[in-house]
Amino acid sequence: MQQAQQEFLKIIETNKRLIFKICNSYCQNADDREDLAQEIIFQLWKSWGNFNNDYKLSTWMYRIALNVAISFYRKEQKTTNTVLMGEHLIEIVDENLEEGLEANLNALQKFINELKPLDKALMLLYLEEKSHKEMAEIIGITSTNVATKIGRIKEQLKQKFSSQ
Amino acid sequence: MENIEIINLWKQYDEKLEKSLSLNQKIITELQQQKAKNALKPARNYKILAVVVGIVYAVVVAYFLYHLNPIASIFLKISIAIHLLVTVIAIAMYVRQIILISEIDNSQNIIQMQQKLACLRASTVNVIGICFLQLPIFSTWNITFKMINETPLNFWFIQMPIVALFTFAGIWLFKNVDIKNMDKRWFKIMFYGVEWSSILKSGKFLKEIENFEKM
Repeated sequence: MQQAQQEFLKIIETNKRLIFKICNSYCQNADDREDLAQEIIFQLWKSWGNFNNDYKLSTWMYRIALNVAISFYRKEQKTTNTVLMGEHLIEIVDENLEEGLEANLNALQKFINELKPLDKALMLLYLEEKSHKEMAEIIGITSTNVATKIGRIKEQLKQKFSSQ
Repeated sequence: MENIEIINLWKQYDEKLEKSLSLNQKIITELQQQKAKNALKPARNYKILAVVVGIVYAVVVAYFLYHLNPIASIFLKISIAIHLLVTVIAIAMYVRQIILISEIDNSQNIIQMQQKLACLRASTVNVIGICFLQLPIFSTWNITFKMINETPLNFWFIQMPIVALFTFAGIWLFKNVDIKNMDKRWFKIMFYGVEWSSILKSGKFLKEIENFEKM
């Protein structure tokens, strides 16, 4: 048990950016983001014992994290039982990017925030440069469908950034 | 900005996070100790309670029907039997929903999992649809052979049209009270109010999933 816990902690540490990026894309509010991150980690831990080696670890993680995020996003009452009141799971030191990059990043995040929950999941996977096959496995549509949708997303992105 | 530049921008964001983001290990360890947290637990508990209350109610109705047998009219007995049958079907539908909740698995692909969740929420409407099947019994329970023989005109020209109307309405509502009809005006009037909003949102999300699956 102790070994499994340690192993899990290592995996979470390695994939903390994945969890944060998903939380940031599905929640605008910092408290909700914190709750969602806790919910994702809790659900990952709950499923950890059943992790199937037939899948890639990243596929398994994305499936759980995105499913929890979409369900959380759609929930009307968002508060969950936060553990250790007063402490925060997500700690972030403000480190600024160059001004131009920061502006583009804000525009990109705004674009992501405006997407519907399923399109948002696809967009995140596209930005993370996942293969069409892996995206299809995570989302549950065919690779051909993924390719068509990615094509549309690219077009939308191009239009969004050319109008900047 | 080209797509490759956007991907690079995302990579830079990732690098920034690598330097600035940390997760509180103490909280993660605390989360690993938690056992009872489950977002679907309230819904499951509510359905279990509904099944228990439903079973107790069905037993009382069955007991009532059994003891009524020698004294009541055949019409009253058939009406109660239909009510009992519909109650049993509604209980069975709730039991099925409890099984579905226990089968929810976050590690399934997104479409599969979200479809299951949305269907589960929307299926409450189907239970209501089934309950409408008992509408005719509200117009048949008081019929007696005495009424048919002594006041045949009243029976054939007042009672029977009411029975026919209730039967038609019951069957029509059973067939049409379905989340697929959520955009129709009569459906919106029928399911108006905050208590239905999450069910209607699930219906909308089911449509969104359906559209997403299309090319």
